[in-house]
Amino acid sequence: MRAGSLFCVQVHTHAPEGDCRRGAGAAQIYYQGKDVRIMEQINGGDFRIIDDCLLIRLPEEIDHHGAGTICENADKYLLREEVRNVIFDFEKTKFMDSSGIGIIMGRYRKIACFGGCVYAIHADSQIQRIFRLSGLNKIVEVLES
Amino acid sequence: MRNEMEICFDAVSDNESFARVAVAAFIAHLNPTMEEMADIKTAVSEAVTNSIIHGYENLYGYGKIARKTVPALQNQEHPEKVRIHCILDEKTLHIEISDSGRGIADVDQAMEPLFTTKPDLDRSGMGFAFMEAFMDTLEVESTPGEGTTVRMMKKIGADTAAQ
Repeated sequence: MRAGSLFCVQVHTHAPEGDCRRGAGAAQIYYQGKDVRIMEQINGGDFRIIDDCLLIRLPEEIDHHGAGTICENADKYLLREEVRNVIFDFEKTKFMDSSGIGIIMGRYRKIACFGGCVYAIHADSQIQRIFRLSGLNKIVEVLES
Repeated sequence: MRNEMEICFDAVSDNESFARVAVAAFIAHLNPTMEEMADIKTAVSEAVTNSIIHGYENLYGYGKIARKTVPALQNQEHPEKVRIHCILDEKTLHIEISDSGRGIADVDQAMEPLFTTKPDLDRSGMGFAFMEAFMDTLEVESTPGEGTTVRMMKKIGADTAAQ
């Protein structure tokens, strides 16, 4: 991990169960004075590079129609920017079907072999339900905020 | 009260959001909970997506890769259609989503969670599992070469009635 990687240090620190500060802190830190590079905007969402993390702010609706563009762009940044971890931000997302699961599983496969992790922030109850149903909660760490 | 509707649309991915919103609007007057609404929208989205990318193998719209590799689809008019037939019987919604695509040879295998024939497209293989989980019943009928029909049923307001 690179020096000064405050965001990732924060995320990797495993706080005791029930400590909700970690998620809230992580969610705040990236908005606070970090070197955030906004890479590309896609129908309502965007891609940001923060230290060695790729933050994908997902659009309002995630279905098969928009999934291809998200995957292509994410893979482009995973390769080009040599990021280690991927964070999916569901703040704007109101709808997701199994295509979203495919996006996350695909990115996980690409970074897991290099020791990277996948995180989800701002996931509402419906999205967390989909995570549980698909077993995705085993590979994605949902940070409560 | 009984109410019925039928829509038929081009099998292109642009219509996925149209399909689920149309079904959601059809049942909106029953005041379903947010969760019921999300369940139905997800189930419809799964079935319609299956028809488009598996039934008709229409990958048009699937990112730049598909558009480049399938140039024939660029300017093609879309003769293939997906049909949604909804019957609302009091508070029970019956949805039938059918296509006349390639069909499924082994329905049981297709319904297994995580089974997908298109892992290269980052498909999760959770489509049927979601339909099964989010709706009360799920029935899949398919003839290879002729098409697939998915029938689903869900009682709206079942949670509130039980309380």
